[in-house]
Amino acid sequence: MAFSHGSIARLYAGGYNLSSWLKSVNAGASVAAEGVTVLNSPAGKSYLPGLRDGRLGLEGLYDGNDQTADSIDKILAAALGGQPVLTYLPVGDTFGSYGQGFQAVQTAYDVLTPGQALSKVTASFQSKTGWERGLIAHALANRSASGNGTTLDNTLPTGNGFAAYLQVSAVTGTGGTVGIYHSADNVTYVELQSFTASTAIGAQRIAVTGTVLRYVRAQYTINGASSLTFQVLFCRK
Amino acid sequence: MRESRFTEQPEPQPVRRQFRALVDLYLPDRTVKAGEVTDKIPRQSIAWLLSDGLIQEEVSNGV
Repeated sequence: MAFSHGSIARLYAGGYNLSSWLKSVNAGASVAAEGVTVLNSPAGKSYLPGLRDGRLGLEGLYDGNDQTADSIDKILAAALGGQPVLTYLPVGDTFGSYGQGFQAVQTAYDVLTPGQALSKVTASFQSKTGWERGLIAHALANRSASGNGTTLDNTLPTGNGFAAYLQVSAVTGTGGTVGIYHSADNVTYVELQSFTASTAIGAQRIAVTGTVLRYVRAQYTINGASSLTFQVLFCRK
Repeated sequence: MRESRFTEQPEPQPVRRQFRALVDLYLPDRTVKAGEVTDKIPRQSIAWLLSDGLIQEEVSNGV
Protein backbone atom coordinates (compact mmCIF):
# COMPACT_ATOMS: atom_id res chain seq x y z
CA MET A 1 0.00 0.00 0.00
CA ALA A 2 1.03 3.55 -0.62
CA PHE A 3 -0.62 5.93 1.77
CA SER A 4 -0.50 9.59 0.91
CA HIS A 5 -0.38 12.77 2.91
CA GLY A 6 -3.02 15.44 2.52
CA SER A 7 -0.38 18.06 1.95
CA ILE A 8 0.23 16.85 -1.60
CA ALA A 9 -3.42 17.27 -2.63
CA ARG A 10 -4.26 19.81 -5.30
CA LEU A 11 -7.43 21.63 -6.28
CA TYR A 12 -7.73 23.49 -9.56
CA ALA A 13 -10.74 25.68 -10.28
CA GLY A 14 -11.32 27.45 -13.56
CA GLY A 15 -7.63 27.13 -14.41
CA TYR A 16 -6.44 28.52 -11.07
CA ASN A 17 -4.53 26.50 -8.52
CA LEU A 18 -6.29 27.10 -5.21
CA SER A 19 -3.94 24.80 -3.29
CA SER A 20 -1.79 27.68 -2.03
CA TRP A 21 -4.66 28.97 0.13
CA LEU A 22 -6.38 25.73 1.17
CA LYS A 23 -6.19 23.99 4.51
CA SER A 24 -8.50 21.12 3.56
CA VAL A 25 -10.81 19.79 0.89
CA ASN A 26 -13.50 17.19 1.28
CA ALA A 27 -15.01 15.66 -1.81
CA GLY A 28 -17.19 12.65 -2.18
CA ALA A 29 -20.31 11.12 -3.53
CA SER A 30 -23.58 9.68 -2.43
CA VAL A 31 -26.25 7.55 -4.00
CA ALA A 32 -29.94 8.05 -3.38
CA ALA A 33 -31.75 5.10 -1.84
CA GLU A 34 -35.18 5.00 -3.43
CA GLY A 35 -37.80 3.36 -1.26
CA VAL A 36 -39.65 0.49 -2.91
CA THR A 37 -41.33 -0.90 0.18
CA VAL A 38 -44.86 -2.03 -0.54
CA LEU A 39 -47.69 -3.37 1.52
CA ASN A 40 -47.24 -6.76 3.12
CA SER A 41 -43.46 -6.43 3.58
CA PRO A 42 -42.86 -8.18 6.88
CA ALA A 43 -39.09 -8.43 6.23
CA GLY A 44 -38.74 -4.64 6.46
CA LYS A 45 -38.11 -1.71 4.16
CA SER A 46 -36.67 -2.20 0.67
CA TYR A 47 -34.60 0.20 -1.41
CA LEU A 48 -33.13 0.51 -4.87
CA PRO A 49 -29.97 2.49 -5.53
CA GLY A 50 -30.74 5.76 -7.32
CA LEU A 51 -28.57 8.38 -8.99
CA ARG A 52 -25.05 9.27 -7.95
CA ASP A 53 -24.31 12.69 -6.59
CA GLY A 54 -20.95 14.43 -6.23
CA ARG A 55 -20.04 17.29 -3.91
CA LEU A 56 -16.99 19.19 -2.74
CA GLY A 57 -16.28 21.51 0.16
CA LEU A 58 -13.16 23.48 0.98
CA GLU A 59 -11.64 25.50 3.76
CA GLY A 60 -8.77 27.91 3.31
CA LEU A 61 -7.02 31.03 4.48
CA TYR A 62 -8.51 34.41 3.70
CA ASP A 63 -6.60 37.24 2.10
CA GLY A 64 -9.17 39.87 1.31
CA ASN A 65 -6.54 42.46 0.42
CA ASP A 66 -5.39 40.34 -2.48
CA GLN A 67 -7.86 41.08 -5.24
CA THR A 68 -5.73 39.92 -8.14
CA ALA A 69 -7.39 37.61 -10.64
CA ASP A 70 -5.78 34.52 -9.12
CA SER A 71 -6.60 35.24 -5.46
CA ILE A 72 -8.91 32.86 -3.64
CA ASP A 73 -11.35 35.60 -2.63
CA LYS A 74 -11.66 36.86 -6.17
CA ILE A 75 -12.08 33.36 -7.61
CA LEU A 76 -14.62 32.08 -5.10
CA ALA A 77 -16.64 35.29 -5.01
CA ALA A 78 -16.85 35.35 -8.79
CA ALA A 79 -17.80 31.68 -9.00
CA LEU A 80 -20.71 31.88 -6.56
CA GLY A 81 -23.79 30.88 -8.45
CA GLY A 82 -21.68 30.04 -11.45
CA GLN A 83 -20.64 26.65 -12.74
CA PRO A 84 -16.87 26.36 -12.26
CA VAL A 85 -14.97 23.35 -13.53
CA LEU A 86 -13.00 21.77 -10.69
CA THR A 87 -10.27 19.14 -10.66
CA TYR A 88 -9.49 17.64 -7.28
CA LEU A 89 -6.32 15.57 -6.95
CA PRO A 90 -6.12 13.99 -3.49
CA VAL A 91 -2.81 12.24 -4.16
CA GLY A 92 -1.13 15.08 -6.03
CA ASP A 93 -0.69 16.02 -9.64
CA THR A 94 1.38 13.28 -11.24
CA PHE A 95 0.68 11.33 -14.41
CA GLY A 96 -1.56 8.31 -13.80
CA SER A 97 -2.68 9.38 -10.34
CA TYR A 98 -6.31 9.31 -9.34
CA GLY A 99 -8.47 12.42 -9.28
CA GLN A 100 -12.02 13.70 -9.37
CA GLY A 101 -13.61 16.13 -11.76
CA PHE A 102 -16.61 18.32 -11.14
CA GLN A 103 -18.69 20.52 -13.36
CA ALA A 104 -20.18 22.14 -10.31
CA VAL A 105 -22.56 24.74 -9.07
CA GLN A 106 -20.94 26.77 -6.31
CA THR A 107 -23.62 26.90 -3.63
CA ALA A 108 -21.87 28.79 -0.82
CA TYR A 109 -18.95 31.07 -0.08
CA ASP A 110 -18.25 32.27 3.46
CA VAL A 111 -15.56 34.44 4.99
CA LEU A 112 -15.04 33.65 8.68
CA THR A 113 -13.23 36.02 11.05
CA PRO A 114 -13.06 34.44 14.52
CA GLY A 115 -11.79 36.89 17.09
CA GLN A 116 -8.83 34.78 18.21
CA ALA A 117 -7.85 32.86 15.09
CA LEU A 118 -6.92 33.33 11.46
CA SER A 119 -9.56 34.52 9.09
CA LYS A 120 -10.62 31.81 6.73
CA VAL A 121 -12.89 31.01 3.81
CA THR A 122 -15.17 28.09 3.15
CA ALA A 123 -17.02 27.16 -0.01
CA SER A 124 -19.31 24.39 -1.16
CA PHE A 125 -19.86 22.94 -4.58
CA GLN A 126 -22.57 20.66 -5.91
CA SER A 127 -21.64 18.61 -8.95
CA LYS A 128 -24.07 18.77 -11.85
CA THR A 129 -22.43 15.83 -13.61
CA GLY A 130 -22.52 13.22 -10.89
CA TRP A 131 -19.32 11.79 -9.55
CA GLU A 132 -16.51 11.49 -12.10
CA ARG A 133 -13.34 9.72 -11.06
CA GLY A 134 -10.41 9.45 -13.38
CA LEU A 135 -6.68 9.37 -13.94
CA ILE A 136 -4.31 12.18 -14.72
CA ALA A 137 -3.48 12.06 -18.43
CA HIS A 138 -1.26 15.14 -18.32
CA ALA A 139 0.09 16.67 -15.13
CA LEU A 140 0.25 20.45 -14.96
CA ALA A 141 3.13 21.47 -17.22
CA ASN A 142 4.03 24.09 -19.78
CA ARG A 143 4.17 23.04 -23.43
CA SER A 144 5.54 25.28 -26.16
CA ALA A 145 5.54 22.69 -28.95
CA SER A 146 2.93 20.23 -30.17
CA GLY A 147 3.12 16.67 -28.90
CA ASN A 148 1.40 14.02 -26.87
CA GLY A 149 1.32 12.91 -23.28
CA THR A 150 2.10 9.51 -21.83
CA THR A 151 -0.34 6.69 -22.57
CA LEU A 152 -2.93 5.48 -20.07
CA ASP A 153 -3.42 1.73 -20.52
CA ASN A 154 -6.81 0.46 -19.33
CA THR A 155 -5.90 -3.12 -20.47
CA LEU A 156 -9.34 -3.35 -22.13
CA PRO A 157 -11.62 -1.12 -24.18
CA THR A 158 -14.84 0.12 -22.60
CA GLY A 159 -18.23 1.05 -24.02
CA ASN A 160 -19.63 3.76 -21.78
CA GLY A 161 -17.83 6.86 -22.99
CA PHE A 162 -15.77 9.24 -20.91
CA ALA A 163 -15.51 12.67 -19.41
CA ALA A 164 -12.33 14.72 -19.36
CA TYR A 165 -11.30 17.88 -17.58
CA LEU A 166 -8.84 20.47 -18.83
CA GLN A 167 -7.34 23.12 -16.58
CA VAL A 168 -5.34 25.81 -18.38
CA SER A 169 -3.36 27.92 -15.92
CA ALA A 170 -1.29 30.03 -18.33
CA VAL A 171 -1.33 30.98 -22.00
CA THR A 172 1.14 32.88 -24.10
CA GLY A 173 0.58 33.97 -27.67
CA THR A 174 -2.53 32.45 -29.18
CA GLY A 175 -2.39 29.26 -27.10
CA GLY A 176 -3.40 25.95 -28.62
CA THR A 177 -5.73 22.97 -28.50
CA VAL A 178 -5.74 19.89 -26.29
CA GLY A 179 -7.58 16.69 -27.16
CA ILE A 180 -8.15 13.13 -26.03
CA TYR A 181 -6.96 10.41 -28.43
CA HIS A 182 -7.34 6.65 -28.24
CA SER A 183 -5.89 3.52 -29.81
CA ALA A 184 -6.39 -0.23 -29.84
CA ASP A 185 -2.68 -0.99 -30.19
CA ASN A 186 -0.77 2.00 -28.81
CA VAL A 187 0.68 2.54 -32.30
CA THR A 188 -1.96 4.36 -34.32
CA TYR A 189 -4.14 6.90 -32.55
CA VAL A 190 -7.36 8.63 -33.55
CA GLU A 191 -9.12 11.57 -31.98
CA LEU A 192 -11.85 10.85 -29.45
CA GLN A 193 -12.76 14.45 -28.72
CA SER A 194 -10.90 17.72 -28.37
CA PHE A 195 -11.49 20.61 -26.04
CA THR A 196 -12.27 24.01 -27.48
CA ALA A 197 -9.08 25.87 -28.39
CA SER A 198 -7.52 27.50 -25.33
CA THR A 199 -6.64 31.16 -25.66
CA ALA A 200 -6.86 32.22 -22.00
CA ILE A 201 -6.76 30.86 -18.46
CA GLY A 202 -9.78 28.64 -17.88
CA ALA A 203 -11.16 25.15 -17.56
CA GLN A 204 -13.35 22.88 -19.64
CA ARG A 205 -15.17 19.58 -19.36
CA ILE A 206 -15.99 17.36 -22.32
CA ALA A 207 -17.96 14.13 -22.32
CA VAL A 208 -18.66 11.59 -25.03
CA THR A 209 -20.62 8.35 -25.12
CA GLY A 210 -19.59 5.17 -26.91
CA THR A 211 -16.48 3.07 -27.20
CA VAL A 212 -13.19 4.12 -25.67
CA LEU A 213 -10.31 1.97 -26.83
CA ARG A 214 -7.73 0.42 -24.53
CA TYR A 215 -5.05 3.12 -24.82
CA VAL A 216 -5.73 6.80 -24.22
CA ARG A 217 -3.49 9.85 -24.25
CA ALA A 218 -3.70 13.62 -24.33
CA GLN A 219 -2.42 15.32 -27.47
CA TYR A 220 -1.78 19.02 -27.78
CA THR A 221 -1.32 21.33 -30.72
CA ILE A 222 0.46 24.52 -29.77
CA ASN A 223 0.13 27.47 -32.12
CA GLY A 224 3.32 29.06 -33.43
CA ALA A 225 5.32 31.11 -30.88
CA SER A 226 2.76 30.24 -28.20
CA SER A 227 2.55 28.05 -25.12
CA LEU A 228 0.00 26.44 -22.84
CA THR A 229 0.35 25.40 -19.21
CA PHE A 230 -2.33 22.79 -18.66
CA GLN A 231 -3.50 19.69 -16.82
CA VAL A 232 -5.82 16.91 -18.04
CA LEU A 233 -7.90 14.46 -16.02
CA PHE A 234 -9.44 11.57 -17.96
CA CYS A 235 -12.49 9.79 -16.51
CA ARG A 236 -13.37 6.55 -18.29
CA LYS A 237 -16.95 5.48 -17.63
CA MET B 1 23.66 -26.27 -77.93
CA ARG B 2 20.17 -24.99 -78.35
CA GLU B 3 19.51 -21.56 -77.01
CA SER B 4 16.96 -21.44 -74.24
CA ARG B 5 13.89 -19.37 -74.88
CA PHE B 6 13.49 -18.83 -71.19
CA THR B 7 14.12 -15.28 -70.16
CA GLU B 8 14.48 -14.47 -66.49
CA GLN B 9 11.55 -12.57 -65.06
CA PRO B 10 12.00 -10.09 -62.25
CA GLU B 11 10.95 -11.28 -58.81
CA PRO B 12 7.35 -10.27 -58.22
CA GLN B 13 7.17 -7.51 -55.67
CA PRO B 14 4.71 -7.97 -52.81
CA VAL B 15 1.66 -5.85 -53.40
CA ARG B 16 1.44 -3.12 -50.79
CA ARG B 17 -2.12 -2.60 -49.65
CA GLN B 18 -3.32 0.93 -49.96
CA PHE B 19 -5.85 2.47 -47.59
CA ARG B 20 -7.82 5.67 -47.55
CA ALA B 21 -7.96 7.30 -44.14
CA LEU B 22 -11.49 8.29 -43.18
CA VAL B 23 -10.31 10.26 -40.14
CA ASP B 24 -6.96 11.78 -39.22
CA LEU B 25 -4.58 8.98 -38.13
CA TYR B 26 -1.70 9.68 -35.80
CA LEU B 27 1.09 7.24 -36.56
CA PRO B 28 4.31 7.14 -34.55
CA ASP B 29 6.21 9.17 -37.12
CA ARG B 30 3.59 11.04 -39.10
CA THR B 31 -0.03 12.06 -39.40
CA VAL B 32 -2.24 10.75 -42.17
CA LYS B 33 -4.98 13.24 -42.90
CA ALA B 34 -8.56 12.18 -43.58
CA GLY B 35 -8.99 11.43 -47.28
CA GLU B 36 -5.32 10.66 -47.83
CA VAL B 37 -4.42 7.33 -49.50
CA THR B 38 -1.39 5.63 -48.05
CA ASP B 39 0.42 2.31 -47.83
CA LYS B 40 2.22 3.33 -44.65
CA ILE B 41 -0.31 2.22 -42.07
CA PRO B 42 1.38 -0.02 -39.50
CA ARG B 43 0.51 -3.68 -40.11
CA GLN B 44 -0.77 -4.26 -36.57
CA SER B 45 -3.19 -1.34 -36.84
CA ILE B 46 -4.88 -2.33 -40.10
CA ALA B 47 -7.35 -4.84 -38.67
CA TRP B 48 -8.82 -2.62 -35.96
CA LEU B 49 -8.87 0.49 -38.13
CA LEU B 50 -10.79 -1.44 -40.78
CA SER B 51 -13.22 -2.99 -38.32
CA ASP B 52 -13.88 0.38 -36.69
CA GLY B 53 -14.53 1.96 -40.09
CA LEU B 54 -11.63 4.40 -39.78
CA ILE B 55 -9.92 3.34 -43.02
CA GLN B 56 -11.05 1.64 -46.19
CA GLU B 57 -8.98 -0.39 -48.56
CA GLU B 58 -8.33 1.08 -51.97
CA VAL B 59 -8.92 -1.59 -54.61
CA SER B 60 -6.77 -1.31 -57.74
CA ASN B 61 -8.63 -1.74 -61.05
CA GLY B 62 -6.46 -4.60 -62.30
CA VAL B 63 -3.49 -2.52 -63.34
